[in-house]
Amino acid sequence: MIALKRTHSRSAVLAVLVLAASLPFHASAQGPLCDFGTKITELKALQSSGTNEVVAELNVRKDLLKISIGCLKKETKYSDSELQKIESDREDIKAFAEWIHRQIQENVSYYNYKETQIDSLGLKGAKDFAKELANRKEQVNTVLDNLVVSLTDWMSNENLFKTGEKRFADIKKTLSAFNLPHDHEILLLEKEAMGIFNEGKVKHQETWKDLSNREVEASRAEAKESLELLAEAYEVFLKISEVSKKTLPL
Amino acid sequence: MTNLEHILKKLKHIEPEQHYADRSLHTIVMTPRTSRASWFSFTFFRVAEYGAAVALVGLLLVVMLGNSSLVTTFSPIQSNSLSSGGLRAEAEAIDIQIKLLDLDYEESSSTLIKKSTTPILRKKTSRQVIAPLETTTSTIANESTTPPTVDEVLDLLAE
Repeated sequence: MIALKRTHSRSAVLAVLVLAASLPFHASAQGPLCDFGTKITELKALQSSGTNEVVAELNVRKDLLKISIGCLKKETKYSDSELQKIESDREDIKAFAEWIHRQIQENVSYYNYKETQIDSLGLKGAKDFAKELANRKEQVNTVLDNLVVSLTDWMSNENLFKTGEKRFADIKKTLSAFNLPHDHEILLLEKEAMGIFNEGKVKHQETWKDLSNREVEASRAEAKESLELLAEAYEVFLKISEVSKKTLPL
Repeated sequence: MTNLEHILKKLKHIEPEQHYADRSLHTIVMTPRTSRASWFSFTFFRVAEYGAAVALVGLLLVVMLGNSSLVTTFSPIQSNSLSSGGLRAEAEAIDIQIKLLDLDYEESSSTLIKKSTTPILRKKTSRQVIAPLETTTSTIANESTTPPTVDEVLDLLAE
């Protein structure tokens, strides 16, 4: 009984660890917030004053652009720090993470270069610059961030599948010791679980394939499907557990 | 009596035949010494005996402290694998991960929706309001509880 309780708590601890590993990034997936201070209010005040204070307005715009660019760099570096937390022995995963890391580094270099241009901007140039930064954020930051989030998710899913695989192997080993007839309810449930579990695993591998091809949207949909199949397999494991306790001398 | 004394005195002078004495000495000298081997065997068996005793005590402790029995330790039947508590804990972790995936998906979708709808909203305000920039800034300034995002500020600066 104590041994059973210990197993429960071990599994619960495992579940908590799996979640704890993924929660921090999810909790602040949008990255750190930016502090624009009073600059927005200042800009508004200058624009509504009626006086044509172009230089003052330009300076506030430049300040806001500098804060924005600092913020975009911080956001990119934040994604990189999350990426560095990913640990795997698989060469393809390591290579993919390294590729994302290099893209992030290039993105930081781009922002460093753009930062040097701010002081020489005119009013129109400042507006165009803001558009350019907004586009860059959408086309590069968001894409890289989504890749990091998806890879982190995939690694968490991988751990869940590994735990499921171990669990299923132990269940099969236990059931095989009873030499049950082929048409026994428990073995039929085991067969059902095997089908669902394998389908989930195939989906999980397809998720990785899509993710490594940078098809984030497709990989996310598949990731969810793979986990739903894994959850379905666990429902059958629970059914096996219930029936086994009633019919087998456990 | 005298005869007996005579015989006993004669026995004092009995000596082995020289050839027999030499052969016996040779046999004794050439016989391999077994005392070292005996000592080794003795030590070996003592160590083995001591080791086995320690191992048995260790195994007994493991069995006792682990609240297990030899049967369950070496049996292929792992009833823990079918414990509903463990299964539920793992299933719960999967459910939470599915919810986290949903959150990620919603976040990225909302970003895309915001990006695609912002220009439309801006067009509307530019037609209807004289100072669109002012409208946007006031929206940002009024939302004092939620600081503006970099997206919002860049949209504002682009105008």
